[in-house]
Amino acid sequence: MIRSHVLVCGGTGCTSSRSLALIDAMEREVASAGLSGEVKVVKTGCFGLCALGPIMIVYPEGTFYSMVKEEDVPEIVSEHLLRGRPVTRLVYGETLLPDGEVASLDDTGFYKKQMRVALRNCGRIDPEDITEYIAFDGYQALAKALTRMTPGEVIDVVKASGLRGRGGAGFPTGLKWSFAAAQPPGEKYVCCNADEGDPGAFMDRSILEGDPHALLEAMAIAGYAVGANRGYIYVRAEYPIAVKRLQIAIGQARDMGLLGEDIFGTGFSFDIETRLGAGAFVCGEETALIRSIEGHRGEPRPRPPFPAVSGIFGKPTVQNNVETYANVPRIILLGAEWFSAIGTEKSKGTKVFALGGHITNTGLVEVPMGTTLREIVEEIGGGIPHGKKFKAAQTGGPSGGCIPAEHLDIPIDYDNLTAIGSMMGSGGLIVLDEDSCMVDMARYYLDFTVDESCGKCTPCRIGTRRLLEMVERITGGNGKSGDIERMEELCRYIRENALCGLGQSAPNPVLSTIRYFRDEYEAHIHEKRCPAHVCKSMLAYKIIAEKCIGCTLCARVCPAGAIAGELKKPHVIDPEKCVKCGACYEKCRQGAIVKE
Amino acid sequence: MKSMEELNAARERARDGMWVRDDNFAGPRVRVSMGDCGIAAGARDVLDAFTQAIAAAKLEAQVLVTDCLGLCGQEPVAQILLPGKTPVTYGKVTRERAVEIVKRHLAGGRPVAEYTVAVRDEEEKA
Repeated sequence: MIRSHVLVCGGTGCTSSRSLALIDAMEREVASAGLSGEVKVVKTGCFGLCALGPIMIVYPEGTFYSMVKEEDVPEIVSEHLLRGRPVTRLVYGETLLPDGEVASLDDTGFYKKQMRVALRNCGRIDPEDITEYIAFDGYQALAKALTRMTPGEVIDVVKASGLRGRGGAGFPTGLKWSFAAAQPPGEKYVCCNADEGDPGAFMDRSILEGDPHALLEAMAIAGYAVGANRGYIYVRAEYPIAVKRLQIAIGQARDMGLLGEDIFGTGFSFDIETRLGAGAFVCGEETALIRSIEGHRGEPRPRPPFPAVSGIFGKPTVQNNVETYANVPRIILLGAEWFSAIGTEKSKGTKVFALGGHITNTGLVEVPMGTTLREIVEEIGGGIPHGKKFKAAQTGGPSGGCIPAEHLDIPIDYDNLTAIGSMMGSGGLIVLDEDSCMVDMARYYLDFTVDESCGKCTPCRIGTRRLLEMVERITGGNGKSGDIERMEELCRYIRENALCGLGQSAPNPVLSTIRYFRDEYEAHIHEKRCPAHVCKSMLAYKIIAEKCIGCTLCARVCPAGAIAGELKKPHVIDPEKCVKCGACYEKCRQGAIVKE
Repeated sequence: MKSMEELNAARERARDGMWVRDDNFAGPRVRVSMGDCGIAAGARDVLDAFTQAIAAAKLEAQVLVTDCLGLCGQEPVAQILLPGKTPVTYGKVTRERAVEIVKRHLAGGRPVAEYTVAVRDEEEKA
């Protein structure tokens, strides 16, 4: 009898920390200890606490091991699996109670305020085994929809739930489906935007890798609701594990008759194909994505007509994000009232955030809408490391804006964020501390959007490039009086005239940093000074003679030969030769090198 | 998959053994002491006896192993934890006793008094 399950994360994050080798080692060790009939090793999706991977959870105790290495496996098997003695040095610190007992994961700072709906199966099931999905109510929602509900009833439930698109725009999902359903019967499509192009976003990736069947089931439900029999999942090629898991899942669903002809004997047929992206951020824009599926270069087009009326190959198409779909099976099973009881008045349900940047608990979190930014940063995120102060949080990636400390207590929902000049976006949430330059951050995102602009419309193709040139002049120490006003005017022009969301939102990082950190721009322009000591052109490294002990470590590590000095005598940096790489700053143990 | 009934049957089959992974498991549990003293006294075979008996009876129960509970003289030691009840500790468990404990206590709900740990005198064993 299998008495123990050992769950190991097989998401991209932990895989790059060699979790697959860990799983192999575990299976070998279990076998050689004669425990194969008692212990099952399971590869799962992302648990969320990515900063501490590879993650391993041992059931039935629920012991949460973090940063597990292959060398730890023999000890885990002989001490924990055989003798019931958890290897405490590997247990996630917060679950270790003083009396030696192990606390529940749900009581830790990271998980306490989370509510996993879209991520409910991630970390709990083997994504490559459809029977595990079925064990946890998989495909029950599809069965209920097909055998007990009419297409109209399905749409009504989704509408009543208040679900809004999780890709960033927040359009009411049920309404979108009703537009497609209202089109005359015929060839229609269901499409999933799994391109996830925002730098720093990995919410969709984790769902695709950890619970692919949730997406398949939801797309079939959508197909039934609007009258479509074919679905496309447009997934970026940079997610090879997600692509593989999707293809395995589709194959298994087909084998079980959950995709294909006459599902559940109702006469409804639905099948899904994957289409791979090829490195174009613009193909995350819905009309450009559709063009790409059709075989053309990904370029957006004006709307109307909207995809729900005329989409792929000119046919009515429902186009939704991965996370939006991941919520659908639960809504159908548990009801609209259950979902709409979560969240705020206009933003129902939960949102998944990819927490990154200067934060202790980097990883994936899912919280009810209305959770404040402070709760996410200080409680769930575990605060800013190294005792630094919070400066801003960037939401929405290159399309979003920054949220400064004064708005830390804002309840996060679609409308609140838009009101303060940011946006929900797809869920990327980058935390910035006092050592970040906001002008440089705007430059970074603008550099990205300029590179990714498809070039079809002039405001984006030329406008964003000119905007970037202005920002780069400023970070390069050549800002001119009047630059801020000129940038604001250009931003407004681009926003109002660009053809698609990429161009329309490209100015957001610039506009929101000017709004909340105008003083930094002014320091760069008028004083030629970067307050955060980031912009290299305005940076000087200096050795404080009184603190220097002449150990020569800095001189030896300098790649430009810019540091001179005799042994045991104070050293000096030659600013003409210095390339501002910061190597000496990192090396000095006396704190004698400062940035000015 | 041609009907809801077929899906439900598939779910039942798939759920077999999944209670091991259940964070909110509220069923019966067996805890077998596998400290060095227990292993020396034959706890490994007792552990096997419990898992085999539970599997044979198709019970939804969790089996945990634990470090020495301090009752080294009573090894092999096992505890039965039923929801809402005080844990009952069995001492000098053998393969045969394990099978009986599974049948009468784990499944039947009534402790097997004569196998519980002797705390003081022989006479106090009710």
